[in-house]
Parts: sequence; structure tokens; C-alpha cells
Amino acid sequence: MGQSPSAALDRENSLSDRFSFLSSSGFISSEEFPDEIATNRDYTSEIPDECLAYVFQFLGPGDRNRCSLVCKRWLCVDGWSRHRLSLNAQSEIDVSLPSLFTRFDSVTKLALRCSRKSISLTDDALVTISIYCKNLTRLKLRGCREITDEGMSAFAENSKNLRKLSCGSCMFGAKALNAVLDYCKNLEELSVKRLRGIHDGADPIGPGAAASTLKMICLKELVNGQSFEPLVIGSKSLKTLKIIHCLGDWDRVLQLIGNRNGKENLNFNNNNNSSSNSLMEIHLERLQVSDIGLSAISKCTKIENLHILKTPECSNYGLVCVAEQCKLLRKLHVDGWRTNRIGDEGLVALAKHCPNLQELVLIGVNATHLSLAAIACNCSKLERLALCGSGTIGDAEIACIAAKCMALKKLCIKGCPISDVAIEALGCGCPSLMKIKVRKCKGVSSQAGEWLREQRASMVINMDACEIDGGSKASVSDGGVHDIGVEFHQQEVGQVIGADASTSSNGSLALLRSKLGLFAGRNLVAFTFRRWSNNDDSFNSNL
Amino acid sequence: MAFTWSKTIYMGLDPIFLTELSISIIIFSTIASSKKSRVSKIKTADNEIFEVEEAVATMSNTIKIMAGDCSGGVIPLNNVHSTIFARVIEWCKKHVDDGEDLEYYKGALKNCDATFFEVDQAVLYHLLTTANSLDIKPLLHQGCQRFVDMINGKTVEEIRQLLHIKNDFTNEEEDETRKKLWSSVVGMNSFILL
Repeated sequence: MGQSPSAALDRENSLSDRFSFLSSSGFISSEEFPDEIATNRDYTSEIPDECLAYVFQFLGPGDRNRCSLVCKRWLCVDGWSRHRLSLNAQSEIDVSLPSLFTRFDSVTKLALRCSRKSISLTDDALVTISIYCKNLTRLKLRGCREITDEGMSAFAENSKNLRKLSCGSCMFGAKALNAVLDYCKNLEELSVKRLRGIHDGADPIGPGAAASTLKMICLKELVNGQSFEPLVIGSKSLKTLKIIHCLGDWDRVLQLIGNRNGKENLNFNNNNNSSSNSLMEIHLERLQVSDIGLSAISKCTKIENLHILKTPECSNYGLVCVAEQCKLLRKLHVDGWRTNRIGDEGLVALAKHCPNLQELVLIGVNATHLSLAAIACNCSKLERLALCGSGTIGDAEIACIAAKCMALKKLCIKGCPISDVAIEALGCGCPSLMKIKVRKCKGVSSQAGEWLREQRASMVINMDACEIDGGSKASVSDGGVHDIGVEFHQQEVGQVIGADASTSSNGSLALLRSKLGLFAGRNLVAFTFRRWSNNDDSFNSNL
Repeated sequence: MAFTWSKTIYMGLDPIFLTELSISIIIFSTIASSKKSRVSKIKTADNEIFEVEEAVATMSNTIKIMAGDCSGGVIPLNNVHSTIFARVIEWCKKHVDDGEDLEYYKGALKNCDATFFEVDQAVLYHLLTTANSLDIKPLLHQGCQRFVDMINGKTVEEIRQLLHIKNDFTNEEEDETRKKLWSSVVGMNSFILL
């Protein structure tokens, strides 16, 4: 076995392979086919294996698993053509591993998930898997709490082709990650969430052998974020950096990255590929980062996508720095957390310097028609706009947008003091508007929604004032403005980290709370505002 | 000759004007196309010869390659019967200008191509196999989608009955595969309900 499934239309196959199949019944009779139906033959046996494998790719996992049981041939075809596998990674799995991976001998993308209630697979099982899956390119681990540093090191040693690693809620530590980064020389993406095995005084985590190949780093909810600083700084080809709710001195880290990008920009004559070494996307959320960090980011002039969410130390000054230098900016998300430190001043600079802006999301940012008019006029490519939780966005602001945003395709307004007047303005303006979502705007009535529907029949309208949009499923789903994937974290005061409280040690949780005491306080303030202005606290996780 | 009309041309025009317009366009394009379009000659397994516009025929990558080798002569397709080839060409004529975007074809399957695929199983499989051997990706894509729609949500036994496939597992083999193996795989739970 181990036949590698070629793509169904792989022209590398000699033509003779493709033409060598013969219908099992000989040549098709010259009559039309219906005569043959009466014989109830298995016509699928006439489809070549590679074609059948191509069909299986279209199936969801349930259907695919059922198809594999239909007959031996289908079992076989499914086996060698299944590249992606997701397993319940409980401790009992080690018994099934040999048969599993004899059946599925071409797995390149593997997910091992263990629920909180079960004991996960052990180091030995993980190493066994790495021996079976020699060509693994992606691994996802969730809740595999029994895996230790030694297990991960041994796994990494066997998985030199790994390109993506994503681990969440695991218990190994710095030694494991360093081993992965040393052995997996082609690693391109690393995502680490809630890793519990890193203690104070642990080894720092550096980029190792993957320093020049790492393109994406995502760090989320890490108590010892500072251990990861050398990794972030040392990854010279990094394109995407996401840091969410981690402790660490991120201003300093950003300064180091910014200086490096700045030097490369000066030397652009020497380095033809300067763009290949520059950061393109940065997400910062609930971090200790200030205008110093933003100034540093402004040196990464190739940035196209920036998220600054819930970072109360960042103000207009920082945003102006970024806008002035980063003229290629296409997507910007700002969650001002209602601290009123980012507002018109920063946005006017954005309008002035960033003509390529395509997507703008403002949450808890007090923007008025001054800045929105400027953006509407100067950012002629703006296609997606979301305005949420802002007390200054009213009918005048929406009227500006309606009158001037010619390219706008998707608009979402949540929890803003607009009224039916704004809806009317939108109905008569924004010629390219395809989808609109209006939620929790008390001033908007269902009649306005009906009117808009009549006025713009082709628009997908999603308003909580009038739930049903002609039976069309698309608008009722939460995918109304789904391109803009903003997460509204509804963190209850006191619950700083997500639902993992039961498994993480109380020590680290208390430590995090005390260190983030500043944020906890602001959390309370922001919360009070939100509860006051919105009856229902449940913002959906996606717009 | 194959040329595609945009339906919007027809809307809102006076019928007489329309007829005159279409006649003059037909005349013009007959002249134009006879000068410009090249015709491929293709011989199927049952020795029938098809003359097909090159742009249409080369939607098949296989034919495209073979045309390069045959340089103007007749392209032999030894495994494709004329009946099925005629259907495939009919599809190709319809989609010659539609480009490569597979998402478009997925949508087209529900609309303009829906009747094309209302065929018996035998025809569907011949279409799939032919699309595969002639390397016409969008047609293969649509055929697969149709096949998937047929088996979507069905139990193992229902699939066997629909497609007349013989179950060649022994009871023990089937049990072993089902219980021992599949409990490990996420997404398997639903089918245990069989």
C-alpha cells in the first residue's frame, strides 16, 4: 500500500495510464444507455480509482466514513486518498493506532483532540503516530495534557516535514517547543494557546532552525509571554504576528522588529526582496502595548493588516504614526474599549495617508462625521465597514457614509444611536452596497427595514428589528458581514482567562489576575458601559 | 460554430428589430467565424468523426495535448464513444467562455446545468470517467458534485442499494472496522446508528 494518490487530473501520469482502463462491460453499445439500467449493475466499478478518490474529496467526514464501509474497494480507495484525519486523542487510542494508520497511510494533516473529561494519549502514542505518518505537514493538538517535553521532542525528531503546528491547552513547556523549532526546519506556522507547562525561569524559546522559514506566529493567553520574545524577534521572515492576551514587554519586542524593518527599508537597494522580509499583518489584543509599540510598527511600512484591540495604552498619537508611514494599509480593526484615546484625530490621519484601505472596523471608538467623511472621501476602495458600540455614531455619520462611500459593499452597525433617518440615507446612497447588518440600534424600527428591502431588492439585509429576510438563509445566519472576523470577548469580570479555569493550576490563574489587575479594572468599567447601553450582552463572536 | 449569447440583449427590444438584429449578427459572425475559428477533427472509438471548434475542443486538456502531437490531423480517442462524446461537447460548447473558476461551476450545476445532469447512473458515470480521461476539470467537478448529492446523508446500506454495490465484507470484518477502528475517528459517531 502507500500508493500516493495523484490528483485526479495529474497530467504527470502517462496518457496510457489514463486510457488503459476499459469499461468492464467492454465498449459502450451504440444505443442509448437506458437499456442497461434494467440490469442493475454496479456502474461505479467502471470509474477509475483516482476518479472515485476525487469524488470522496467532496464529501464531509460523516458521508466519507459511511462510503468507506460500502465495499472493500471503496474502503481501500478512501484509505489511500484520505489526507486529513481528526482523532479523539484519548488514552485508549494507542490500541487502534496500527490498524488506523495502516488503513490511512497518506495522512498529512492530523488533528488530535481530547476533551477535558478524558485522559489524553501519552507520549508513546504520539511517537508511534510520528513513525507511521512520515509525511505529516500539519499537526493540531487540543487538550492533550499527558504529552510532555520528552514526547514532543521525540515527535519532532520524526517529523522533519512539519509546516504547521497548533497547540492549545497542552501541558508541555519551553523544552518541547524549542525541540520542535530545532528539528522541524521547514516550520512555517506556529500557534500556541494556553500552554501550561512554562514556568517562571523556564528557558526562553527561540526560533531555532526555523528562524528563516517561520511566517506566522500566534500566541494566545500565555502567562509567560516574555519567554516567547526571542522567538518573535528572531523570526526574520515573519509575515504575520498575532499576540492575544499574553504577558510580556511587547513595546520592546515591537521596537526591535521595527528597527530591523527600518534598516531593511534603508538598504533596499542591496536587498531586492525587502518585501519578503517584512511584516504584513499584526494583531495585538489585550496587551501591554502603548504608542511606543505603535511607533515601532510604523517602521514596518509594508503592513497591510493591523488589529489593535483593547489596548488602552494606545492613543491617537500612535495611530497617526502608523497611518503616516504605512501607506499600504488595507485592513484596520480598532477596539478602543471606550477609553476614548483613539478617535477622530487618528482616523483623519488614516484617511489622509492610507488610500488603499479596504476594511475598517471600529469598536468603542468615538468617531464623528469629521473623520468618517474624510475616510469616505479619500479611501475610495473601502469595501467593508463596521461600526460598533460607539455613542458618537449617529444619523449624520451614516449620512456621510451613504453619500460618499461609493465602493462600500458590506456595512455593519451595532449598538449605535442611529435612527430610521440613517437607514433612509443608506437606502438612497452607497450604490455598491450588497449586505447590511444592523443590530441593537434601538432607534431603528422594523418599518425602516421593510422600506429598505423594497428600495434595494438585491441587498442582503439583516436587522434584528425585522428578523426574517424573505426566507433567505444567508441573512439570518451570522455571516452577514462575515469577512470582518472581529471577536467580541464577553469576559465576565473576574474570569480573565477562558473556560479552562478548572484545569489550569489556581496558582497561575491568580498570578495572571494580579498581573493584569490593571486590565481587570478597566474590564469592569468597560463592562458597565456596555451593560448600560445594550440590554443584551451577547455580541456574537463574528459580526 | 459556438458562440454564447448574453440573455440581456433580448430584454426590452422590439421583436422586429430584434429579428433583424439577430439575422445580421448571425450573418456577420458566420463570415467572421469561418475565417477565424479553427476546427479540430476528433475520431471516437466507434470511428465517428466530430468537427469541433478548437476553442471548445481544447477545454479538454487531453485533446489539447494530443492536438499538439497530431498537428492538424485527426485526433483519435480510442476509449470514448460517440454518444458520450457528443454530450461532453454539448457541455463544452455551453461553457467555452466561462473560465476556470470552479465555484462558478458549482453554482451553474444548480441552474443552467441542472437538466444536463438529470441522467441515469450509467450516463453519469460515463460522463465522470470521460471527463477524467479527457481532463476537463469543471465538468468532472460538476459530475462529482452530482454524485455527492446522490449519496449525501444516506446510510451505508442505502448507498449500496442505490448504486447496486455488493457488500463484500464478512460480518466480522464489518464489525471490526466499525467498532474497533472508527470509535477513534472524529465524525464517525453518527454512522454507528446505521
